[in-house]
Amino acid sequence: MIWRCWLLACATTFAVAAPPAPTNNYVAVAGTWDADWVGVLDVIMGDDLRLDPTSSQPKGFLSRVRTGSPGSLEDPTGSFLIFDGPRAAFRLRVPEWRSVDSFGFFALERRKGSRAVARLEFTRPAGAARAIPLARRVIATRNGLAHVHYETPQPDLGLAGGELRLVYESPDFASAFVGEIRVDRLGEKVGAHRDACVACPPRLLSWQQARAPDGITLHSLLVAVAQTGDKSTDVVPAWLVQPAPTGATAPLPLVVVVQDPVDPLNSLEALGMAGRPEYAVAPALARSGNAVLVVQLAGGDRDGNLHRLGALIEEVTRGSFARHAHVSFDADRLGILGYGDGAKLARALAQRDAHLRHVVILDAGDPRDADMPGDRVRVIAIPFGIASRPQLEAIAKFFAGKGALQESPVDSVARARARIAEDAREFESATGRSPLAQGAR
Amino acid sequence: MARLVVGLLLSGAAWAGNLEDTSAYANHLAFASGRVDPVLRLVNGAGLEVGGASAAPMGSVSKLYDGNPGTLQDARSWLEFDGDRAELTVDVPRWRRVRNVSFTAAESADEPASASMVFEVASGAAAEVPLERRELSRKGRMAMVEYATRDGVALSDGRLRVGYRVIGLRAARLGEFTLDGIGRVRQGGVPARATARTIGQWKELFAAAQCADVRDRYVQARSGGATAALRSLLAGLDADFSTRVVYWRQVPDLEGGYTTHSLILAVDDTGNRLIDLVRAWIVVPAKPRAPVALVVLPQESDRNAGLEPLGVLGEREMGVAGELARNGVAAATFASIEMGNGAPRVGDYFFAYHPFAGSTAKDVDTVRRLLDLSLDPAFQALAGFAVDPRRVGIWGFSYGAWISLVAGALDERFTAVAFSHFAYRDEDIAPGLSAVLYVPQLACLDGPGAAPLPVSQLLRELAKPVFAVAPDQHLLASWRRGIDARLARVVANPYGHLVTRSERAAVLDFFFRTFSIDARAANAGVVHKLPDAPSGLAPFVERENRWRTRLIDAMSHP
Repeated sequence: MIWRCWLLACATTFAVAAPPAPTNNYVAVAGTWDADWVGVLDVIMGDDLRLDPTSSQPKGFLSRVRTGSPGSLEDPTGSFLIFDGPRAAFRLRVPEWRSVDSFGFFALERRKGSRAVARLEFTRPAGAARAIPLARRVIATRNGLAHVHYETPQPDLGLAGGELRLVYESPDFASAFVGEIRVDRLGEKVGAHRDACVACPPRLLSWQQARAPDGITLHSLLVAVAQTGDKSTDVVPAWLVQPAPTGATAPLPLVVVVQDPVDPLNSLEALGMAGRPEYAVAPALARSGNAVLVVQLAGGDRDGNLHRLGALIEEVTRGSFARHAHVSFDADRLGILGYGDGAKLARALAQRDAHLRHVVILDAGDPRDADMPGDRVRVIAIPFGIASRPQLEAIAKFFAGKGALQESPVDSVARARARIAEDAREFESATGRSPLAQGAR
Repeated sequence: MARLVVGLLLSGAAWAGNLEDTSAYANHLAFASGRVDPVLRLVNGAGLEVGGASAAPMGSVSKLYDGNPGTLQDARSWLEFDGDRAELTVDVPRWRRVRNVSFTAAESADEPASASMVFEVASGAAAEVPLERRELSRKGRMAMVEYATRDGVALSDGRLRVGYRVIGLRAARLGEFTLDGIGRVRQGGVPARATARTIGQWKELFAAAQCADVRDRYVQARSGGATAALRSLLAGLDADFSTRVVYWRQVPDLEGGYTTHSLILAVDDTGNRLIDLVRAWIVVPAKPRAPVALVVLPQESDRNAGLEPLGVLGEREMGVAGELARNGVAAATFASIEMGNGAPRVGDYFFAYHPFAGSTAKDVDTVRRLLDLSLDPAFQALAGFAVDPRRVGIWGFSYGAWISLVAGALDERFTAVAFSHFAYRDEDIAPGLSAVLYVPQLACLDGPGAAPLPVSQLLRELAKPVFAVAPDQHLLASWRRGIDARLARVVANPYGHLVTRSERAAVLDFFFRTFSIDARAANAGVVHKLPDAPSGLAPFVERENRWRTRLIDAMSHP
């Protein structure tokens, strides 16, 4: 695989890649500790950012420069990484699949007459170092101090498959003070210096692979879909479940799985890694030969979630992942499966996107919907809100083009609801409470 | 139609898929979620399915391990079945010894249901497991009951089949299903709240009852040395509770050349999962041909710090488990007790159950249990590796340094001890470590000039190879005083509260030398010396002063 080849190529610089942690992309976005962006930047840069051996030693962990905080003139000793000498030097590995379009960092300097110098270069394996210009801008001052932002002025650097080397020399304080190292402006708050981008082209930020014992490969991804400074808006965790190789070279059918965004564990549930086991649809789909894209959607912002879904599908099928994963998808077998509020998103996406050829909606509601394109959309009504194993296997085969799919009898959900209401009445009656009819839950 | 679904089988874990086998961190994720159901899903629900003879459940089987035993006030608190019969099967792996199984149910108070439990071992033999019925509450004609196995049960390597048929009602209704009492309804409920977020609050609650005893025990023990005095202060936990492995997943990393054993250990029986359950990891070289050395890696108390030694989250300088494994050394790490930083504070929940123990007693107890497990031949046989008991080390940073020092001093099985950045002077230990609730009993010994646990003396008493990294000149000088230089090396990291790449390499090389392993630690970063004399720190202090002077000058003058 490309990823492994790259690891070998970079073995001299980065001796060891971290072991796969396929849920860290979820933890990075769902969890909060220290500061909002810490987890995301940890996953994106934790293994790729190192000190250059020519640097002086910093007086703190290197993570200080990937927290999302650029430093502050109010608290210079607490917010900048302080080095034991005037020279700070970093290396940042840029994987082949990554495209770094901008690079910047923050520093603390003298307000007047700063003698600081910053040099940035990019080197590909076996290639010569290429100097990358940096523009210096003072973003704040306080007495004799200046908060300085260095950034590549060229907007679309497109750096991939190599290593960035930053050397910063700041003799004025006898120690270099470095704030955030910022790649592609991740974590930057939108405000005075830039506009928000709420529907940016997708950008693949993190990609790990792990292999399950039965040959299924789990690609764990973080994809940027916006630039607002809010991590839950900007970054989406996703997983591409690649079925075990069969020897066949035919493109794979791709099923996008959209769980109920209201449940915080929704994507992990679909993967079988948390939550209700009945909703672990991804392994079942993959075992029938489907590639499965599981998306972690947050909250109930319908339009935002539709954008995220579209961006992820674009990234996985036509973006960097598609170019480097050595997985090809069958454009005629692109499907989507939704459950709960995810079913509503699936319905909406199916109506607007004719590329989605096969849509299955697991829905505890009424399967009839006059607005749905009947030639593409199958609505599977679920008695009690749970798909049975045979139902799931039939759905998996349907997506894989290995079988037809019968829609559920229209009245099956109604019967289930009646049954649940009947049992509720029994419970209420037996416990001596006034009977209350209850609907489906 | 709904009946037909019964035959189609709704099942649980078996079709949850095997993607969990790609991650050694599901145990961490479950705790990091802050919810109880992901934890109970791993501990109680991993092998649970609805059996073929069951009516269909009218909801997710996960309701059986959501921490809610059910209530007669709410029909929706139960997993209702589409008929009067429910059957559950539970695969019990061979590494687990289940000593108690229970489930709650809502049934007729007048006509008890029929409940049975059969355990089928791999050979096919089956034996009935007697159940006891206990009524927990009653409302109208309904009763909430618990069925539980009797004492003396030990189930392993087989399948448990639970049959339940309600009488006089249409629907079987089951509440919580528990193994080994984890998540079980407790008689008497939770002890009265004893929140003590500060040492002042702790003293208000407990000092009057405790301090005289603490002082007496300390004075008696002190004549035996600092280690004996330390031991006298770390009572307060039920050390007799037998450690149980309640979750275990082995995840091989083919590229890294090692296997990560992902574990949840039951270590207590309070009913509070933050106290009772510990998540831990043991990273072992792939296919070791001989018993391996082991280094235990206690770390900080941050919620994610247990993952730092594994190299997957947090400070990557600390990610040494993989490097140790590649050089033939196993590593064990665990999540320290939750102390805040986005997680519950220890003072919010711990003292209600263990008023006379702090985080140190708890985490040292965890280290002991983790070592017990790692050295247990039965565990080693199942795990496929053996630990050489002559080569067992411990190394921690910051809070983990304190735990390493204490565990290294108290547990003779550790044959080498390293610790980095324990920052308390001897005279600060009593006020400092009691204030952060590491050892609240130290507040009973605090007073002007008191130094009840001098680290320098603990170091002298260790009598085993030690590599201590001091954070400043004072501690460097203090710790070096009187030590046996043939056994102990004390150096300083002059750069502050961190482990540098050079320091990490020096510590790993200490273990490689001590354990006679022909390896050198890698350092691809900045190389620097670790001064071993106070005078060696002078240039660092001079540089520190220089930048501070210049910075202050710039801040003072526009």
